[in-house]
Amino acid sequence: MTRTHTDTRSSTATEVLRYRARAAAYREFVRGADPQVERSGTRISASVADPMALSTVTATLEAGMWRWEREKKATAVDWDLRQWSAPRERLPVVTPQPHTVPEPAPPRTSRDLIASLEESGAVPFAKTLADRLRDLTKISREEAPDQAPLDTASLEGMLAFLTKNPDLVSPSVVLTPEGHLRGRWRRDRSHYFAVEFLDAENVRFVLFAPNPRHPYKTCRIFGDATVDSLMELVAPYRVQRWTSTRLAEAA
Amino acid sequence: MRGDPVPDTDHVARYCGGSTIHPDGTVDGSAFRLRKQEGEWENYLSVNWLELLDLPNLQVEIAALQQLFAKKFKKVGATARFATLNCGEVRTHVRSETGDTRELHVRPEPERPHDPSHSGIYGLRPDDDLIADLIAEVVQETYPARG
Repeated sequence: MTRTHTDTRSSTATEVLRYRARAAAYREFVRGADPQVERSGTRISASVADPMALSTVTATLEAGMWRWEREKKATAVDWDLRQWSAPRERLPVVTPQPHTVPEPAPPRTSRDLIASLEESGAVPFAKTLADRLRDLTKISREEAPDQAPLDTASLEGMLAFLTKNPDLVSPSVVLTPEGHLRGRWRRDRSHYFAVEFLDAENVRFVLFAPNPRHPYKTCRIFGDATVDSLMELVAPYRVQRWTSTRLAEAA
Repeated sequence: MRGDPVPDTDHVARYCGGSTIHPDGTVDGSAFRLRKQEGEWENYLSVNWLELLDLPNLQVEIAALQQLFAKKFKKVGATARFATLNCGEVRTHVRSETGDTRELHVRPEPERPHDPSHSGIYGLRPDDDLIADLIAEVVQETYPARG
């Protein structure tokens, strides 16, 4: 006859629980005896026989659940399982530690980001760019509601892009009617690179550049990319040659 | 007159918000994109047909547009500009520089009685960034939108 007690409290690290299962059997069932601990996959069990060999108690831990079983021998005294099973509150179950969730930082505004850009000097033209961003913010306020305000996520995207590509010269920046920042690097009609920062991660770009194999022809490309992959995507068109030299358009 | 194309020799002006004007005075392509109005994409790019105003010269035509926009819109930005375009040049440039040989059309869309010169550039699609940037390349002049 097998009776089962299940503790559904969750557990964490398997190795810790293995120790706990063993300790539980050791402490609660047969003091001084050495339980046999077995492990099979995610199942860990600790078995001990009572001093009279009338029954065997097994503590099993599997999938975060405790199971207590006692197997009685045919001639066994009718042991009360409660004598063998430790009260639930005494079971050495590992309970998850409460997660310490940090207080969410207050959302950063465009104003904060522009100020930190200027202070940090993360890009060489930080002051010029910050001034331009403030001008655009002012214009967007004046032209609302036809003009959406500067999108903070777009600003984050642009700053991440410029920080990741410190060799870029200062772009000429505008605000699209939707409130996205759009940076432009242009030398002439066949050296043109415009990047719109849709949010902190995604960009949409337009590129006019000489065909790498036939430089007298101009490739015209547009598409979507991410802030961290864009320059790799356009690298075959040698964009860096004219966006990171003095030949490129200055702000 | 609605539906008849504006002749290639004629010119149109597009109102461009100040945020879309680069520091060097050039107009960004984002000023030439279709926009969503109340959840629906515009069918065409709004412009004004300058020759239809039948005024002596471009300066007077721009002055008329400034007055019109001051009445039509509550707020005209101090840095907003009118960008002038030659219809034929826009059409040719876009047709020759796009892989799909995109054909644009400029047609009158009069809004009587106050805005009879209102017209539309047809053939653009939502998020046509490349076409919009090509149009920006052939802007002839820009003028203040506020008189």
